[in-house]
Amino acid sequence: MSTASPHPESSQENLLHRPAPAGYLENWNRSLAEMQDEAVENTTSLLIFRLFDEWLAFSTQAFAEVIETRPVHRVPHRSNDILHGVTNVRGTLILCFSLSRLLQVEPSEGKDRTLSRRVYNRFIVMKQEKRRWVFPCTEIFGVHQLPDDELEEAPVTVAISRQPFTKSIFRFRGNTVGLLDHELLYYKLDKDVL
Amino acid sequence: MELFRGEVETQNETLNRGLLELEEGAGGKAVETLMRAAHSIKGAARIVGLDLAVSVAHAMESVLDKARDGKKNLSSDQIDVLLSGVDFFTQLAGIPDAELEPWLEEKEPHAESLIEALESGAPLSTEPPPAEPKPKPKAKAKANPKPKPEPAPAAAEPVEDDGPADEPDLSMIDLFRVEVETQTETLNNGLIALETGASGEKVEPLMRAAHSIKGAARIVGLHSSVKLAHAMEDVLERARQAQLTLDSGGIDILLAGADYFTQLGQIPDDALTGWLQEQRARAEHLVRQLQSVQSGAAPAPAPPPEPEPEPLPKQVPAASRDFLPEPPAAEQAAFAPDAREPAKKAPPPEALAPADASSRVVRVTAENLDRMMALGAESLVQARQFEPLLAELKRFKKSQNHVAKFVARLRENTREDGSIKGDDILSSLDDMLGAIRQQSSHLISNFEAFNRNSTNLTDRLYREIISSRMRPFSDATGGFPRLVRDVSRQLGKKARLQVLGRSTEVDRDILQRLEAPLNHLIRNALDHGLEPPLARKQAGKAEEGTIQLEARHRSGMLLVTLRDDGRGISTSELQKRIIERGLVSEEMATNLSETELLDFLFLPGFSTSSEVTDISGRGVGLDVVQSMVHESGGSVRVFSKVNEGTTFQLQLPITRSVMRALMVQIAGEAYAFPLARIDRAIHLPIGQVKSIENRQFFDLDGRSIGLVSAAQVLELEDKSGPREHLSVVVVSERNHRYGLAVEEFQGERDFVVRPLDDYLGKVPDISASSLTEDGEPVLIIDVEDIARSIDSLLTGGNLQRIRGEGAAQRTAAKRVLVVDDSITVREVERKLLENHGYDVDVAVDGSEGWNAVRLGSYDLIISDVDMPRMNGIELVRRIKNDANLRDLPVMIVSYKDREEDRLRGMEAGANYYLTKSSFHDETLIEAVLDLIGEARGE
Repeated sequence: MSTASPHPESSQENLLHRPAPAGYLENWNRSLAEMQDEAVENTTSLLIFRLFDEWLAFSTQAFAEVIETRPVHRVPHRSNDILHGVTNVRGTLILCFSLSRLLQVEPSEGKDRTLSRRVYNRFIVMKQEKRRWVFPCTEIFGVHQLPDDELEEAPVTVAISRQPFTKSIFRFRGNTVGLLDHELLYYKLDKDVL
Repeated sequence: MELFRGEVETQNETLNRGLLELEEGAGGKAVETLMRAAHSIKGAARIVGLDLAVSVAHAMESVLDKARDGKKNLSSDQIDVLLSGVDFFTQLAGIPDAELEPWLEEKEPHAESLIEALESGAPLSTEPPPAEPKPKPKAKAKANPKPKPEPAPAAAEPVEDDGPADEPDLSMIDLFRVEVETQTETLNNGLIALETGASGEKVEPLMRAAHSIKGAARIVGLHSSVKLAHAMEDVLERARQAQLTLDSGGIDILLAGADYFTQLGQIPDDALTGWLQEQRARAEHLVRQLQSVQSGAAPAPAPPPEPEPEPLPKQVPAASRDFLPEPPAAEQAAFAPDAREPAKKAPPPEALAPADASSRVVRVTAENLDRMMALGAESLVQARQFEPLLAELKRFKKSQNHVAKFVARLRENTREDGSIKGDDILSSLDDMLGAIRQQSSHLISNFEAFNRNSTNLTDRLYREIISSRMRPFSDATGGFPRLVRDVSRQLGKKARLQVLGRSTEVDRDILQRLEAPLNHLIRNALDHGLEPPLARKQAGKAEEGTIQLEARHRSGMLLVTLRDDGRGISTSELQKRIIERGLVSEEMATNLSETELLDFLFLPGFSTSSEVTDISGRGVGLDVVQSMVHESGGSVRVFSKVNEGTTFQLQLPITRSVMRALMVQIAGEAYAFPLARIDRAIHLPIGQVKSIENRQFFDLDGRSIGLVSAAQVLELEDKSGPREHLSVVVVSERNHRYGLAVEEFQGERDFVVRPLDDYLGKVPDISASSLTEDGEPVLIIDVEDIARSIDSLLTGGNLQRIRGEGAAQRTAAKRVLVVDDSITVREVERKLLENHGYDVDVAVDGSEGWNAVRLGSYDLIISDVDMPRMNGIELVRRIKNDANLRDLPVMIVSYKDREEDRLRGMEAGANYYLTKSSFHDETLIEAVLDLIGEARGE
């Protein structure tokens, strides 16, 4: 039997051991080397998300995780327009605030400018040293490496209320995205919300 | 090289431990272990080609070998030399590869002297054998402080300090604290027991305690502590051998030593160095006292291990353990600034980091930890079982699809008259359904088992974690025997403390909170409860009074009882005082029951004692005890019989982490009332609610109880409509009862209590938070607080409106932001400006200022120049470069009064530059007026 049939083992071996096509290794070499170059470029890692029809971003340094929306419990004498209350994030109650109210981004009637295939309301958890904050958002695009030279100065035309929080803006897939100053955000929460 | 490091680490630990044991006089077996350790290091050093290390290890090995054969007894000095050998390896292992070569070269002479000392059996000489002392390696070692989490390198730290000064290594200080805490307790209690008569048996544990403190102090580099502990150990050692009888004077000195350590253990890291310096004289004085106790009592037949009272002798072994021979004083001073000083003043940041609050040390038994780890591992295994379960569910779905296909085929093959073409379809459908049924029952039983197991597992894990918070009651009672001794001596009374239920398990938080109230109650009992010996004798009691402290569990609560056999509290006396103080009318006082009378003891400022003494009755009354116990969710009761004594009974939850509470719905959200703090929960037909002057109340047990909506108290919007029945929680606080109407009762539950985010500060009416079974947040009501809120709501609800008007008026003033890192300057400027009617905000540095400027609409910024994080010039520049803020006037106020400083400020864009002397005259205000005008003007 074994003599009659072709050797399956040897044909498999041939497949694996066949010489690489001409230029194959060189091609890989080059493309790997190029990828390296890209990473070396100065980029900022950003989390891009949407509040109603406004695209915003902040540095991933301030970003902890994205979680599903969940019930928020008001805190008596403390909850207000901006500070919603507390919500359970992995067994710990974390303060939940409304970034849209803080930035005065209003829901609009117009069509949403979605970026993702599926849109979910989500909570974004931010971390500030030992404290964490959570706020609801309309859509999350995800993390994006933005080359620093694509950042532009925020124009004065940005709505006055949002202006101080928007450090700079950038173009992303046909949308203008405002990069938020999370330090200032924390300061605002610290000073005015509580 | 990594291998060698690992080896050294392991063996050094063995060596360090073993050598210390040896010092205590361990036998040949212990020596053998050490010898093997040295041998292993030798082998490892040979493999990596460190010849110098091979020779040192070899010398150590042969010394130990001789000791094992009994040819040689190891003296303390010898052990010191051996320890320096260990330190040598520890340091060696900590040197990065790149620096190894030079390090070895530098250390070579010291290693050689070490070998020599080992071979000769003499202590390392103080005179530098290799000619010149080398400050260089030292500077180098200090300049490269590597983060070293393992204990061995930390142990090497202190030896670099060959002077008597302390150089605390903060990375290990937490462990030192734990050690000190345990050992001082042993010392305190044991020493008191000694007063009733010493025996070798009683002294031995004390000696060991002192020895342990010494060891721990050595590890963290607290040399003054090493010395003190050593002196204590010596005295105790001689007492143990009955060469010395300790009188109470001697015990007092030993206790003072224990006190020193207790205090030391409580000093926070940042204050440690300062404290040590301040207390240095005290430590040295104690050492001298101890030495005189030792020599005074017995005229030294055998030379004590440390005969001289001066701190100097300790330098010898300390210096010898360093590879740098003790340099002459002048030399030492010469290189002190570059090598030692910085290390002392600013410990490397790596060393400070672990002192952070987040890494605070708590004691958990090893057993407990092991069980938690086992359960943790088990839960991982458990989670993996989801995968096969999921695969099975997928198969189940496939079979279902299969059936669906067959059903479709069946439909196709059904003739118009209802008969079916080919009956094999039906039978195979039957087969399939049978298989599915089997599959589903299999799935269900699998799932059931899984559910059962994981519930069981998580439950156990949770219990284990809770129990890791438990400590024996004796943890809190450690200081009490000492307290009783000291206080009763001071009062000239005789008292004995009896502690029962030492091993009763209590949550460590509760335990911590228990200490202060118990301390107070014990002082009280000694001062007011127990009579002086003579009076006791006359009353026919034993001269020595007894204070009994007992802890036990009763029906899920912790019951702590403090009983004295003193004079008791006379209720008639109490009645008289109550009437005197005008607390109740005479008529009412006579009708009060005994319990009700005794409750008056807990009123603030109420004391039965007429004189204020040093011991108790300093205004810190029983009310404080009561509120502390209430805070932990417990209650206090007092019983007393004249001439028989007084009993205080503290009832507390066993743990604070789990609490039984009534869950209710308020304004659509979940809240919980601790069961221990509510009186009743009743359903009240709306018809029973009465109303007078717009206030609602109802009758319960013949008393009228004010009724308030919980949502109103909590300032929550209540959307629920009117109902026929009200759900009312009745709470009481200081003899007042209130009814709180909630939306509905949701039953009793156990809640795992977690503090609310401290960012919120103390939230009125709320004490803590928890989660429901569904993981939704629940807030736990602070009953005491809410009672107060109800009270103020009932009596004066119009407070808020008044405040609202005031705020509206203020907004008219012009707003000024003062940015300065000096609080004095900030406050001076603030007052100055506020006096002129401006609305002032402050920021502590440029960075905060920049945040504030962007968010607040200010009319003027006044900033300092030199500030941390962002200086004033940078702040001005940013403001002037910002399109929206460009026109905002900025004034710089600085100490710098040179022209170039002024120019620098003006170049950045400041509108005004003043020096700080301008506070004293009107210059500042004039400048402000100049820039923005009057506070309320245009």
